[in-house]
Amino acid sequence: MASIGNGKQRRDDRHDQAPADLPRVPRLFWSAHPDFAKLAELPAADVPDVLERLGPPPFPKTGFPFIGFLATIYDHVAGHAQRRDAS
Amino acid sequence: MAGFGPVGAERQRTGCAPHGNTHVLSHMAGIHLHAIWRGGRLHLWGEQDAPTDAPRAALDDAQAHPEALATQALHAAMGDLSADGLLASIAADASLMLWLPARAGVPLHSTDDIVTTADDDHAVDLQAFRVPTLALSPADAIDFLTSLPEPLPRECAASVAYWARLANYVLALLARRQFVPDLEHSGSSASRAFWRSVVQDGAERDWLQDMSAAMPPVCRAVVARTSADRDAVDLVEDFLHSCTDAVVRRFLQEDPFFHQIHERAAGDATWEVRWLAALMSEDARIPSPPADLADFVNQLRGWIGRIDGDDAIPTRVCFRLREPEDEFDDEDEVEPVASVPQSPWHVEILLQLLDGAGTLQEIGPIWEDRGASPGVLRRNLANRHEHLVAELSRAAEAFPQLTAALHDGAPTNVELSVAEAHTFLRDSAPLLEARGFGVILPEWATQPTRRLGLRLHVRPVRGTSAESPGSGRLGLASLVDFEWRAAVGDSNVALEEFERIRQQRSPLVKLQGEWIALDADAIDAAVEFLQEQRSGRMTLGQAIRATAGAEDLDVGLPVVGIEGSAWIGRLLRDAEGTQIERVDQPGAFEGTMRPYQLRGLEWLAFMQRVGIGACLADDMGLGKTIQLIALLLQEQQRGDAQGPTLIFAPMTVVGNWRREIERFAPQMRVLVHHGAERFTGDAFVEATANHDIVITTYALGHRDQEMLTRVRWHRLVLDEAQKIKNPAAAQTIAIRGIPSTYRVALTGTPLENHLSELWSIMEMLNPGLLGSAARFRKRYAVPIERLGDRQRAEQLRGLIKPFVLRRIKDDPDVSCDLPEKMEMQVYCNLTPEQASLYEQVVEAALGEVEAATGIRRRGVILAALTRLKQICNHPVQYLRDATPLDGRSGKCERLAEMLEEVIAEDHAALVFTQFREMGDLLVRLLTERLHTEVLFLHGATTAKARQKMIDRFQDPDSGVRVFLLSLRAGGLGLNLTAANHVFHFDRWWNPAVEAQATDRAYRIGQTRRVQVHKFVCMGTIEDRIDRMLTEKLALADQIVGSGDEWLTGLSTEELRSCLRLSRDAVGEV
Repeated sequence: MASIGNGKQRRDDRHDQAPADLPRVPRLFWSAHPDFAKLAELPAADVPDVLERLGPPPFPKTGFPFIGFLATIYDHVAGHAQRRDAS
Repeated sequence: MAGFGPVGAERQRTGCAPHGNTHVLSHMAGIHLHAIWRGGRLHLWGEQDAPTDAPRAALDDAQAHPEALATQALHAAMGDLSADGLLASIAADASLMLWLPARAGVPLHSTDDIVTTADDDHAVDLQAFRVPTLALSPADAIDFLTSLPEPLPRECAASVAYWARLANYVLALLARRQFVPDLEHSGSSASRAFWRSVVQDGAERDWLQDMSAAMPPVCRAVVARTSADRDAVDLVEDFLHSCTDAVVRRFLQEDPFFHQIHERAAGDATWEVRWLAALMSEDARIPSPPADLADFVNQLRGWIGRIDGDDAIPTRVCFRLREPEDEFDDEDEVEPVASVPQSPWHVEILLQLLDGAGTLQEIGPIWEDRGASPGVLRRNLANRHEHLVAELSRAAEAFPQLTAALHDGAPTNVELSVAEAHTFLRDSAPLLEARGFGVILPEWATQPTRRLGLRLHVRPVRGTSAESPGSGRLGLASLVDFEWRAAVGDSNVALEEFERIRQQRSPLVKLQGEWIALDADAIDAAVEFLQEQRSGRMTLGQAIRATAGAEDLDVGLPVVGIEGSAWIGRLLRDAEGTQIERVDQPGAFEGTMRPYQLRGLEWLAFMQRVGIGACLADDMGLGKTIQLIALLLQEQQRGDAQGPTLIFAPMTVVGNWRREIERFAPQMRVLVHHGAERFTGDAFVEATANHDIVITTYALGHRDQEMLTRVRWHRLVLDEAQKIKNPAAAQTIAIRGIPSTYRVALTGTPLENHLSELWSIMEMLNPGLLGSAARFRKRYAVPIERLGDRQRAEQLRGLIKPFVLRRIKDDPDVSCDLPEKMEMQVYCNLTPEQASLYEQVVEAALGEVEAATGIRRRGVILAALTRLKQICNHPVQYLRDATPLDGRSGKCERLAEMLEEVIAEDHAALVFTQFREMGDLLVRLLTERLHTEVLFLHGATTAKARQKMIDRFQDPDSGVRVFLLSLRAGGLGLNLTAANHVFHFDRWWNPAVEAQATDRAYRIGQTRRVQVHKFVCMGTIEDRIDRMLTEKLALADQIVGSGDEWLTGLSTEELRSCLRLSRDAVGEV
């Protein structure tokens, strides 16, 4: 079974006291972790198609082409996003 | 953008110059821009490098950052930065309280790199300051961040770079369609539809986790109520989902095509349409009372939840039933035979991977929220919880005990009483499965044989002749004593145990160490039945029918079988004779019977002894005829025959019967009753008294019925019994009415495939066994043939099993007895037309031969021979006219019949002929008769076409089952191992040539036995030459290798003797 949750406790901050988890050293406070530079390349895994993985919807069949409409949405959004990405 | 200029400043900045871009934007000069994600918006704020005239934040706020830019300056700077100048105008003015590094109450500039020590009186600490911001909506934030120049100007701080990278990632996810629609259902009066991103790949999740860890701390520096509001993972997740939702909506709203959904959503639209509409509007809410939406939400959760697995394999909720623990741990403690342990049953709740292997996973960890490392997108976890709860709620409709368990919040297991466990087995399990849940039951619950039932025990009535069969007067009408006994599987249950089981009134009982499910009402009905009809007397036929469910007996419990003692036990056991005694073949049998044929003989004899009609249904070529002949001989040997045996056969095999009897039992007297010159009336009755066997045709069964019923037949045999498949035909009814002491049916086709045929044959052999035709049709034929009812098919199989013996060539007991290549003659008749033409040609030839000498004489004889061969094949081959083909050739009729059987068994055949024109006729005739493609390869076939034909024939999926070849063309290096039957339609009379042709099928690569059928027209030249070859007479040596030439050396009288047509040649087809 994969990991779930991080076990961190959520606690109230105090307005009169800076949180302990924020660094006080200015250089560390303003900068990204050095690993940030290594993460420049965005991941682009070859993953299963979401609609395929969802499979047929559980709703009773009616005249409305639910999956077809959803597929059109995906095509449209993906096309737009690709054009934005390219520009 | 403005041109370059030095980054001038009175205050030297060191350290974190964010980027190397030396562009200086006019309004950006001297400022540093930061980005914070907070409350679903991107906040931009700035700080100045040096005191300038740029507007500053108002100083009347005690916590105001003294160097923070006012929103006016921020608008200007934003306008410079972004390619979309309008964004700067629409950004909203806002402010944030941030924890920022400060010393002595003065905030440090972000480029200050001051290092202090712990004992420094003016150590750097974090202090809360208010900064003015410009707030961008998620969609605008994406537009802004993705339109920033690459590389970013140095005035953009690390936080800007950080959110810009995530913004580009959002677009990348959308471009790869990694997003899903979802629904937030809080139980209040409205639910919210939204889009969210999906990360399916482990490496991508790792990248996101690393990105969260790399977040500049300033991004988490908002003064918030709880640390949760500053959590990096939550911020990343919120950014991704909020931006995904906003951008998708914006894309869709820009296209009028999607506006149609709003019209559809009005009025009486389904929930999914309304949900789609909410996904495409500004207003994401779906107003509805929670109860109305509950079903839809559950369905949606179950559907969308598939995406949120930690790997790409979807899962489903699975329920596993566990029996109670054994209460008898102490070995000394004796467990009663039947008991009801009181420990609870359990239904475990698990997750089952739909990976093909059905791997199971514990559900506890999901509830307990534990794991080694955090999931980056915690929405997955929330969704998994929601998904699980939704699925369990859905399951609770079929499994009500789950509802109470759900109230506990995190169910992993449901405890059940024994009654509830029975209800789960009987009701909930099938419903859960039907709804797509996994259900795992103990093995005993899925075995139909492990159930309490009644078994019928029968034995011959004591003190009667039925105790010792041999009189043949038994049969299905024999009375037997019966007793019903309780049983589980193969074991009987004593009456006391049965009573104890009943008294426990438990739907599940542990019996003989294993659980069985019981129906209290059924047990009561069974007890009532047993009190009234536990034992008594009935006919054997009734007993067999009762156990096959063919009698209307309300026994309460299922009937699990029948067992018998003495000869009844033998009848009921496997007909293939695990208990068959070894017998010797009859002394008078001329030939050697194979072991499986001896077993068939014993079975036939046994069935006769007990007076029950038998059906021998062995595969074609296994020697049904031989087994029957052996039975007749055995009878004769013992002096048991009390009258002749009447054999009904198709005309096409009458000749074959005669030949076989002549060959294996030459001393038996055979009368063939057919043709215009057959005996009639008293003459017939008198003739039968002087013969052991009378062979006639089915057609005469009706025509000569009156005559046939006057004879006291010892036995009636139906060969190719499928000929009486029409129970209502006059012929069938007539034959059924012919009295005989015994009846045997022979057929090569699997009876189960043709139920009306089965009924007709069984009715002939054992009247009443399968009930009336109407009842049989209703009870068996329609359910089995139309509805595919396997249980009924199984019942029927059980019912007929004692009466049918069928072996096929692949049976282990048979195959070891068979040679690899089985050769046999097929004796055919000539039709009257063929016989007439034959005699004309013989007379004309003999006349010419008388008058001719030398070469001319030789020519006349050879020409006559060819014509006679053609006539034996088909009149049209000789006459060369365009007259119809059907019904004019005995050989063709028999070939068609045999090929029908070959095709029915999904075998394949080669048919050889030496005549091209006969091949053409056969293609026409067989194509029409068999309704299948017939390939024909001859000398004129091109190499390409020939290879195509061979490939098609060898391909089992092509559907081609019959391949015709001319003898010579077929002998040229072909490999046709797809065939396991070879027919020599006409003979070359050269064994070597024939063998070569045969071996096209029988050679390396052939995995099945090959049957070779050599056609011979009885009473003709073909017959005589075949006998010579078979009997290896002296002339045979001359024939071999010399073709037809040897005939030309015969005298006219010798020629006449060879060529003449004998009486048995002619038959009707």
